[in-house]
Amino acid sequence: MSQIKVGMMAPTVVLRDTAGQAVSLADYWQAGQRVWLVFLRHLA
Amino acid sequence: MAQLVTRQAELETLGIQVVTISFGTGYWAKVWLAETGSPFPFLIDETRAGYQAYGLEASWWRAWGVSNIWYYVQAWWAGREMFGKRGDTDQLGGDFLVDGQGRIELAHPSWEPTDRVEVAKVLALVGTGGGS
Repeated sequence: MSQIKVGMMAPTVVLRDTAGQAVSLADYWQAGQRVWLVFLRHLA
Repeated sequence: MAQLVTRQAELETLGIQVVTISFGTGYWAKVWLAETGSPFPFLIDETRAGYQAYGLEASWWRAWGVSNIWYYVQAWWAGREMFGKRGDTDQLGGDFLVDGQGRIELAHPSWEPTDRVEVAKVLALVGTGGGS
């Protein structure tokens, strides 16, 4: 079961965009904006 | 996903950036983006490092429970196009709202595939000024 709870610092993970460029999730909230992370299931 | 797209303007007004994440391959990502017309940033997590970091599980019995089968029955009945299997169908998703300081405001790992956060819930949370 997920251990991520309200009030915790969000885990920072480096992923890739569709062009293959590395992108850190933290880049979004470090820009000062609120971010809704939507983890999808399989792409159907 | 369709719900998010139709309410994109409201989300933007409240300063919420939606970021979509998938463990699918780059090929399927491009296909899916073309099909859905999703306007949101799309990140690829083929190793599922992000899924693991956020505690999102893969479970056959939860992924193929009554709610999900009913969802597909309704989709079939409504004539919605279905695209078949594109990756691990047991992997579950989830929704996390993070504030501008990197703090979790809402954590919702899906118990089963149809268990997603309603846009209205996020709008209400942000509109009232904080997490629960």
